[in-house]
Amino acid sequence: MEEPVETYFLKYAFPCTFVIRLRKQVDEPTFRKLEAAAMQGTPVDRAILENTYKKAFLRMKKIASEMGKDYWSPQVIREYFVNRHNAVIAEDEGYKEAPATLRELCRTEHATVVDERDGILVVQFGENRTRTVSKAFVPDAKTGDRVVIHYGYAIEVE
Amino acid sequence: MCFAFPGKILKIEGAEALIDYESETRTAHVISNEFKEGDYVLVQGKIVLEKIDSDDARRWLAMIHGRTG
Repeated sequence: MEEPVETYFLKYAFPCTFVIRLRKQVDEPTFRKLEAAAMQGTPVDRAILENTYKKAFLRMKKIASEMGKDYWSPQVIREYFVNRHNAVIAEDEGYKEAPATLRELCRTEHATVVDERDGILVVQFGENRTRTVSKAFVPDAKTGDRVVIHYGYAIEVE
Repeated sequence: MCFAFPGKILKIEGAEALIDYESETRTAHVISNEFKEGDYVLVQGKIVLEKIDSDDARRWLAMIHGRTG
């Protein structure tokens, strides 16, 4: 079953909405709506997403023209979050003020599942770093799978 | 809460912990033996995910609650 591209985008974008909210760039009702949609996998209007994640879309549009694709395509979304997002965090002024733990959580990482239980996965990435993440988006993930992690979630199996 | 929040473990009883988020206290499930009272941890979806640095956690909580410095 094909998941709507808006849902795919929100799976990657939602965890860091926390940061946008701290900067007061999203209002509470919109935040709650995005949260519900991310948890339930229901699509959200593109206009709302583009208006909330302005910086991300600016970057995605650039990537889209590099790749010769529509910016609302999974390949562009993936390229931004998996390959470009970490550099953004490293350079962004707002993130520099955030505690190191938060900044680290906002990165996406390629990780390997080493254990799974009770709705969570234990994954290993980088130089022997481990983290515990939620399995909510990848219910079928199992030990040995490669996943992309972001904030406290495994977003997709690679 | 649906995404990870920092909090301090006030008490652990069996598989449940009482977590202090400053604005409120709530329970969460503890699925590992590594956590103890006084630890600052990351909690998501009512599960204690992992321990985090206490200075970082305090700064993060200050940020969440709109305190500067």
